[in-house]
Amino acid sequence: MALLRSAIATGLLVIGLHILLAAAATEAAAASQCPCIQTGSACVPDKACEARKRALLERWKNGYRRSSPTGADAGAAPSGSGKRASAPKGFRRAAPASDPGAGPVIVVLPPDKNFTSSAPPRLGSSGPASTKRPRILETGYSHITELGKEVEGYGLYSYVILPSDSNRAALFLSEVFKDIPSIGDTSAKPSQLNALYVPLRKDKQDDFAAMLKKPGRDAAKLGAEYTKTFYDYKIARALLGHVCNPPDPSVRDLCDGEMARGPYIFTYASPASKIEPVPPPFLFVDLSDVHERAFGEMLAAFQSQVKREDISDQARIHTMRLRILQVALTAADWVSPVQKAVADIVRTASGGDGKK
Amino acid sequence: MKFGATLTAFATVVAIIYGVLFSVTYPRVEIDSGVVMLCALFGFVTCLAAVAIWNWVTGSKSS
Repeated sequence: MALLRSAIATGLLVIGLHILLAAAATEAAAASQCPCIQTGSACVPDKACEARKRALLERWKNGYRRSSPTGADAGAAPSGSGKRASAPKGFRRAAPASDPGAGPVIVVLPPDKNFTSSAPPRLGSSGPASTKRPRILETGYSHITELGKEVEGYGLYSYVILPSDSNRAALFLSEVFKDIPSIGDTSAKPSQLNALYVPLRKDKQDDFAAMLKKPGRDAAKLGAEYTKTFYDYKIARALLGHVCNPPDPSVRDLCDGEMARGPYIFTYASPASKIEPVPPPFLFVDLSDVHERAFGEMLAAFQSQVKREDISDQARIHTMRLRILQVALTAADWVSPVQKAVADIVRTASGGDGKK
Repeated sequence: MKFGATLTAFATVVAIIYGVLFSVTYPRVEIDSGVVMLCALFGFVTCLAAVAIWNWVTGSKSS
């Protein structure tokens, strides 16, 4: 008996240690803000990202003494083709302002729209002219009825991509309509807005406007109705085609798959619905394996991600916190039937006793 | 019987703490019966583990 107790205690200690290690990993991930790179089933640390963060930290420590802060990024980012580059190629930090206390200015080099190669655009003096991009403050949703019909001037352009009408798609859109304000209800300047476009069928525009005027609508009903009647899956598939023809190495695995589950969110620094292929950097969030009830948290993480200097690093998306949520919600799904089964067994047993 | 009642009481308290922690960590996730059951299960397992560890530690000290 004592041996059994000792064995149980040891086993529980081991479990406890694992939990502590997981918590430590969470802290480490939060501290470094560098998500690991998923390679098959393994998750290897992103050394390049860590190097970049270290270089960034060094710069802060040195009070921005270096004349060219991008040099450190360039050093940390070997430009090997096929390998994942650490520094986003279209985004870079500007030379520091004379006032060290001033916040960092983000410079975005907009992608070349006439880009035809699958290789990322080159930066440098001969590259496209740079434009200053203020930090993104808000995300607002809007509708797109035709490819290339986005409103110019927003800080970022995001697209909700749903491959097909499904319950997941409806739940996701419900969360979008519940958590994210319409772009007309946002207060930030357009250049500091992330416009989240939801494809809308052109022939159903009037019906949708009429539906919005109806009293007593809620986000859940709106999401379900939208996916069934109003969502333009043709635009969604075209957007997926643009991303995957040919795909960037970061989305190659995804593009090689069936791409039928989703939902997906695609974010770019300029209107991207007409660009093919879409050159990196971009943010592509694949929510195929995300539990439906975690959509709200994932959307919050997405909104946080687009506010980052480097929108493409997915540091706010691939966090231990959200992974634990996935595990917890999946476990909760497993527990529910067990609960019902136990209740049934108890009821049956008590009924049997009553007969006796 | 006394042990069982004490264990249940502590397990309930720990389960409530887990539930509160979950709701604070994930404010956008609705807590349904599945999550409640999971918290209850973890609360019970935590208390059982605490008892087992306590017995193990005190047992090793006394011997």
